[in-house]
Amino acid sequence: MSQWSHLAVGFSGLTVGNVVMFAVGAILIYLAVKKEYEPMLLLPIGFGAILVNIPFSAATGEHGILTLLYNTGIATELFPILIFVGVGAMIDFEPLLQQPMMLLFGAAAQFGVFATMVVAAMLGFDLKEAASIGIIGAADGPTSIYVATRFAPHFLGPISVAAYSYMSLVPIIQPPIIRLLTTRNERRIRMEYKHIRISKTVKILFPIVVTLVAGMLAPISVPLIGFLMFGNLLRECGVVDRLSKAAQNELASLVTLLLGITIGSTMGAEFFLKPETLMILGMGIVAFAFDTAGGVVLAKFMNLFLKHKINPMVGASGISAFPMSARVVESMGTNEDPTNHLIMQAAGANFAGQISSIIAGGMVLALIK
Amino acid sequence: MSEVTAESLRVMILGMEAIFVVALAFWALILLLRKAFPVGK
Repeated sequence: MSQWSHLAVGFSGLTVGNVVMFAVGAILIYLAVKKEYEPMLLLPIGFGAILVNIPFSAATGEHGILTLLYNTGIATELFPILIFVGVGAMIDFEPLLQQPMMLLFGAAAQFGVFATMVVAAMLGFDLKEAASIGIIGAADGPTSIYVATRFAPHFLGPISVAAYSYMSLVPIIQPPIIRLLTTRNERRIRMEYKHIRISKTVKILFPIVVTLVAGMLAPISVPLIGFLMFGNLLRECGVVDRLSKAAQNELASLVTLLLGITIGSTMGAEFFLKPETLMILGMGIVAFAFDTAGGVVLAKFMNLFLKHKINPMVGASGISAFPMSARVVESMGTNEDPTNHLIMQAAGANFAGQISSIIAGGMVLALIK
Repeated sequence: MSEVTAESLRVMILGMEAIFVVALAFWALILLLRKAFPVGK
């Protein structure tokens, strides 16, 4: 009988919090499998949340595998940085190089990062915690993880879950805000799209020059922007196709898998089941809403002075969530006028958002000591 | 207003300014690169 009780030691240590976290893990897995909300991340995060909440689990603790993964991959910032190499190799910056003006929308759509930081500070979070919560508005998982690891590792779980969940919910979050801020006539504005051919030299030089400029302005952002642009250089140079494909596929997949389960392992009941978690999840939506508003309002402001008007919906694509945001704008545009296609302009703004979100992360790190 | 909120407002203003400056710099950079290295040269 005593041997049996030894085997069932997990049950004896089970708490209500653990059971709730099993349910949270199951919900994340359900969202990943049934709803296909960022399944590459939410599924491993959900399973990691279950693993870490099994009482006396050998996967956690000083020598547990999840602790090892956390210490080597998250605490050192290795996993998010490696993800950037893969993301960079996946991005074709051509739509942005054709329409560099879209960079302004990428910048405006970072408003959510900073506005949410102010809201979080007003709610009583300290500045570093507030900045980590605000960075959910970067709509860029690795950037959120990178900043949260430095500034508020105790909130890494909820911040990551919010960042990835809301990215997949962009088609639900953005349209009502865009409708609220625009008139039907504005949503029907047509934008001329001129196809400009970009030389291979420009495509190769772009990642190098951007790294140099961003690095000189904010050296702390070099790991973020540098590895993103390194991945992009692999893609564009045309002579290391094997490395580019490895970065896009094997590297990105393997690191995503490890990153997800390791983030899940930060979701122990004692850390996750706090009122702050709900506040962070709530502020994540606020961040995405402010992002959207920032881009739309800038486009409307620019229209006061421009001869060729901008469809303000394109401004909303300045967030980093690619390609969801560009698709939302294209879909809303064709709903208003089936012959009005905005996908190329929105894609340009979306790519600008990817660069700007990383710059925003770097600025947050540089400005807060 | 608490000290933290005031500091967060300062970071917001500086951060947004810096991001727009970088965006304008990248815009100019792209135009320069396109001009210096057109297709076919």
